[in-house]
Amino acid sequence: MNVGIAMEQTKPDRPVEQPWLDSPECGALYDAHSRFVYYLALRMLGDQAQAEDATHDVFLKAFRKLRLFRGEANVRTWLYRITINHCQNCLRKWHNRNILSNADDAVWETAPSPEDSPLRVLEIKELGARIQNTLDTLPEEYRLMLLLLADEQMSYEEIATLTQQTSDAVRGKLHRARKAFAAAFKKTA
Amino acid sequence: MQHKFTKKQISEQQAELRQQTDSEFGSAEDMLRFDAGQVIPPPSIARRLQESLAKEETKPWWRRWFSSDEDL
Repeated sequence: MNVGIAMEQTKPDRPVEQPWLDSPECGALYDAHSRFVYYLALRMLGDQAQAEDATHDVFLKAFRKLRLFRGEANVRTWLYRITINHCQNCLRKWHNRNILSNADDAVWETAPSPEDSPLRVLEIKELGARIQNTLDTLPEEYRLMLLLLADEQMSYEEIATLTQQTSDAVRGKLHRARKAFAAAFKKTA
Repeated sequence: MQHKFTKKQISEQQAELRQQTDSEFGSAEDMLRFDAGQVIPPPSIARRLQESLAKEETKPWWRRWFSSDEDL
């Protein structure tokens, strides 16, 4: 009897039957996490169009498997895992094709709000470009850790899980990552 | 001459802004948090997602179930 119950519990959920477009879960998931997924993809890939594609693909994958995830502790961590894997695959493909280019600074810029003053717009756009330039000089591991830490919802333990190392290792590396970021950022002035 | 003077002014303002920015943030993560706060996903992503989901609806469940799981 117990075996039967256990088997029933571990069996994967049935595929989604109702139209996904009408699912409030999908809309809520996108509303709550799309900014964070998009930002991580943008700064990992350094390319606005690729970040848009990545965000689209990440949420499509997440929606397909949303039922499987129900009841888990942290959806954000799950989405970040998909995003990191997706972006790392993209970067690997780019490097293999040797088409990585930093010629177009415009795609790195942060989009300012329409209400901002011209001076503020200039400041925000320049800051976005400098941050991207700085992140691009860092080892991928440092870049990823800093971007995950920038999300206030992420703990050291969750960053450790996502980067597949211990929390102590994350703390040590983040210390070095901050120093490397500060030094590289000064050079962009 | 007037144009050159204006460019010089802009350059000075930019340098001033850079100095302000460097001292404005306490740490790398503070700066990245601010940066993240300025970035909004373009609405085109949600629209494309809607279109993709509509296409998915027409696929049989087993094709949806087994497609593109490499990042999960």
